[in-house]
Amino acid sequence: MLIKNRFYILLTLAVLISACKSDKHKNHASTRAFYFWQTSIDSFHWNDSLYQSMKINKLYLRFFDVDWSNEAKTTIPVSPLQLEYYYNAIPDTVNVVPVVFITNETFKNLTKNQSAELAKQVHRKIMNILTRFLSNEYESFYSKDWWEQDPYNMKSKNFDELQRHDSLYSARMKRIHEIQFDCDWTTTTKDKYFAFLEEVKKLFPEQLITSTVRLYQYKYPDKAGVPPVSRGMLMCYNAGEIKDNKTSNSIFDKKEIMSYLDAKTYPLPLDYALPVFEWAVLFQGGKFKTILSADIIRDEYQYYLQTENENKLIVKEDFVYGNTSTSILIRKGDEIRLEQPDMRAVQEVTSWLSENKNNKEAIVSLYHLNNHDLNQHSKEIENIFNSF
Amino acid sequence: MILTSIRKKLKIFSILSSIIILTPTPANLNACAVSSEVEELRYMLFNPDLLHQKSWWSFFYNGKLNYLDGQTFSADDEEILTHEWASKVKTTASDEEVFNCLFGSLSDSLLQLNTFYHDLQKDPASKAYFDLALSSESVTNQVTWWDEDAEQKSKIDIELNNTIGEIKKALVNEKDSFYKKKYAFQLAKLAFYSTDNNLFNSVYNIYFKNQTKRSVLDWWAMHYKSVVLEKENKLDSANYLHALVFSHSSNKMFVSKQFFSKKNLDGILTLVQNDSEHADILLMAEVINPGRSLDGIEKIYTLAPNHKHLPLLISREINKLEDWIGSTKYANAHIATDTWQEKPLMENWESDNAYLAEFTNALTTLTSVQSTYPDFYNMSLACLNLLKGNAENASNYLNNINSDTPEIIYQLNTLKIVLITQQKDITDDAVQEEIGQLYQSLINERAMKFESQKILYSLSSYLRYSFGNKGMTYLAGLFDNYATNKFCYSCEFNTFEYSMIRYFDMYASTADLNKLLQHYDSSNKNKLEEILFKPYSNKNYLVDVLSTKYLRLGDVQHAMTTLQSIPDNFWYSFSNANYYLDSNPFINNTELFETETMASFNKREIVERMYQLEKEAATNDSKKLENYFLLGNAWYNFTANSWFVLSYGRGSATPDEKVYTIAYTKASEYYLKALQHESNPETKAKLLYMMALLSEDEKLKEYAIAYEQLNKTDFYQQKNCLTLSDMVNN
Repeated sequence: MLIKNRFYILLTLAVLISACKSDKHKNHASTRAFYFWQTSIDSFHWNDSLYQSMKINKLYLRFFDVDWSNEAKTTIPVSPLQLEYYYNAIPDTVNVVPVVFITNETFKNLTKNQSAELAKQVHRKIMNILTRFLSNEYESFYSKDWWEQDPYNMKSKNFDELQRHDSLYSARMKRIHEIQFDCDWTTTTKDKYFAFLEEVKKLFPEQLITSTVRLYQYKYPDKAGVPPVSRGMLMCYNAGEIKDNKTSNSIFDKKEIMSYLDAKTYPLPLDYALPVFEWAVLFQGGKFKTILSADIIRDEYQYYLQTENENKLIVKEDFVYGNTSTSILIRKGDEIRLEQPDMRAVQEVTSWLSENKNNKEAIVSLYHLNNHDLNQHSKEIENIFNSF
Repeated sequence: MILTSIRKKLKIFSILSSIIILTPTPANLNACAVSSEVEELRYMLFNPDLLHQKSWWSFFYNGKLNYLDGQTFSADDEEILTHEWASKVKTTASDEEVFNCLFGSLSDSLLQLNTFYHDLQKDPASKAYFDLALSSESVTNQVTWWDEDAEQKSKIDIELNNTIGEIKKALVNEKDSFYKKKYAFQLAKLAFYSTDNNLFNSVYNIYFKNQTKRSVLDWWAMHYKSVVLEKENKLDSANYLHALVFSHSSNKMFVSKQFFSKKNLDGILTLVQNDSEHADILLMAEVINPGRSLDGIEKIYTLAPNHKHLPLLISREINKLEDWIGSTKYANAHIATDTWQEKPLMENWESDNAYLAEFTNALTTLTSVQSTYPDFYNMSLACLNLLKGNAENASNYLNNINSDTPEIIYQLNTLKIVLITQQKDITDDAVQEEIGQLYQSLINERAMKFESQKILYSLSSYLRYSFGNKGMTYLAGLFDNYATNKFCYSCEFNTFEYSMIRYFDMYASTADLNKLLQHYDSSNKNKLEEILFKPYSNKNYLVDVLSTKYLRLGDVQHAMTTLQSIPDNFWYSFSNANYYLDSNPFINNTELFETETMASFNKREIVERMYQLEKEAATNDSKKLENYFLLGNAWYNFTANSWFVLSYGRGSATPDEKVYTIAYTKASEYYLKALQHESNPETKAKLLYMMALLSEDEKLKEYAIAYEQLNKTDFYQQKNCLTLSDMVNN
């Protein structure tokens, strides 16, 4: 009898758990987000079956960076997103969030008033790229070829082309619900960044303005300030010091990340960005030089490298990395630190965030979308989405 | 999908050797030029299908490409056979069921649902024939497949021989002449496809050759015979039969035309047995004639005044004349003018007009056409007279037409508009109202009218010419939008936004555009204006052209006040403006190594800043240098980075490079003014460099010498221009 009762209790529990799980899956299956941080929309194979099977429905698309030019003594746009060969790669069902990265250096050189002026320039630049991005779908206007038509039932070109153009444009603009700004602001620049955000909110009255929040900004809101936006994106990675050659993994160290996350409640509702990428950090004479593609280093320059340990490579012979004007000379004796997050640890942190998120609508967005990491970590990515 | 479409297009185009530049653009942003399809640019007001002869479609002068894709055919022959069978079997099935059973290639399951098939099964003779015909068709299909598999081929050969044997047996045993003819045809067809010429010839000679009255199967068998003769290199005989088949078999018209050659027409004509055959040969020769056919038409009329294909030749001739005269004058002409400079073109045009008169006169003598097809006859002569500009005659012919057929009414209304333009003052509001009513009715009624798009394209082109000729550029430009942007698929000039303003960009003055906008804003538009303005739901594109015109005149102030009526949001939705004005033209001069900054301006802001800089410089000496430098950069950039301020299609769509002349002149003026106030060697070097860049001959040398003297400046070190250096040293 007791065994029988226990069986029923266990069965009831199992049903309850599975019910909870299925609900949970349902919620999180609805928003699967990624950051797209490459400079050309064409750099990713949007028709990749693996990507399509993941049902990503929100994309944080980096539109451009803003930096300060010491030479021009003004703000300059850097690496705007190239859309040249983009043919409706991203379907209407995907919620696109334009993202602009602004260097902290920019705000160091601007006054509060100039920061507000920058907001106008950024607004125009975003609108400019958005127009190009949205106008790609106008191709379908002329889909039916005249020579294939029945001569007794010819179709004119659309008589209402202009109305359609204008209404499609405004309809598609309305599909842009959110615009995000990414800035590693500090205590000295926070007022200017926040003034910038205030102005941006006026310029995009129809859109939700969000801001990324770094881990230390999250942990010390009193010092760092809280951006005047409705929602934040907590960047749960890059907590380590990348420029320190003693750091073992600057992308994701669970212990370190958790030391930030275990903080008091943050005043803004948050979403969470987690890493799915790898890179190679180059040190010359023990000093940080630059970040390289781990993938390219492994695939193309293995010959020049000697493995010191799992994450560290020593350059055996001089070689030139890259084939363009931005190529760099890598010297014998340089050290390369290969970094990638421990995906199991990322999943654990995701599960923890799922239990401790500060609002019900929170989502997880992975940084960043590229074919290499997608193929390498497809199962883990699926698990991360499912575990939130 | 896109690739499939492109492949399809290429395939179709290769058939007709047309030229098209397929430039897939990533977005409608780039100012790429895509050439229009020649066939679409032909002027054609006259509907060649007024008599509803689908079998003629592939032979019209203006051949839409899909008439040649094998999908377009008339089923006249098949319908005759359908009636023969229905009568023979005494079936209760509908004509459609009989047709489908005989020619619909129905599957076994669909055959079981077909009433006529069931009726066939009830009669042993018809069942026997039908079963054998089915297997014969099946073998024929297999024989015609190209197959290298020897085993398969041998299997088919056995099947073929067995079927031939069975048909021969049935042919001998059959007493009923109806079925006997059918078996004979199946046997001839099998012999033809199996290339057994002996068998074919013997069957043909017995059952098909000497028929006093020929049926559909006789003409089909004659087609096979003509191809056999082709293979035997008996070309005159083959061509003789091709021409006869063309005139009498709807199913074999296209293939007969493809085979026919009039290389030895005299030789072919020696084979004719009577006037009717003589007319058939001449008709075939004229159907493939892209030149003048009047002689042929008159001969055919003399030989066979009621030849059923004579109206086809008349339609072809009217469409040819419309093309030779109208395409040149109305459709392809960029601007409404008769003053063509090219002598050969003018001579051809005069000669074509003479031929038009000759043909029109000749048509009036074809009385049998007049009595058999009165509406067709009157419409033809009305159209020709309108092409000649003889409104009175045209009006008389149009008045003779009294029909309630929708196609006839549609054609009548088309020609009535042309008539109005020739009889009345089109600048008059009431006349425009009248034209507007008719034009609107043609647009409303265009569905289910043969090639109505082409007719509307031609009519709109004609009206563009007519209104342009009367100095109403503002209405001509709106007709251009209808002609090229609505009724011509391949007439896409740059983007559809540009197609809307193309005519104005090229030909309108500021006065024309001001008048256009005045009518746009009028609450008292006549019907014509109402229709023509309808596609312009957003007036800002027209306002923008006006501002551009002012800038091309160097009139910044008027450009500014014009642009001030445009809301800022417009510039975001105007893709090209957004794309090509995405930088700061006052600073971002790539010649001076100035990098792109975050600051950018829309067109209104650019012009406003130009106006302010000028005004400030005029009153404040300390600002002269800086402001003139910035203005010089702006005007210079209008020829380079920010070309969209003055032009809508760099190097292609906009009128020509002359639109930049003002920018070069202004840039030079401002750089020179700045130079007069400059003492800083760095800035001076930049200004001298720009002046040298914008100068020619002696002036260029003068600036080059001055520039070389500043060889210690940072700018010079960066821009160590060998050309300028060489110029000084030589």
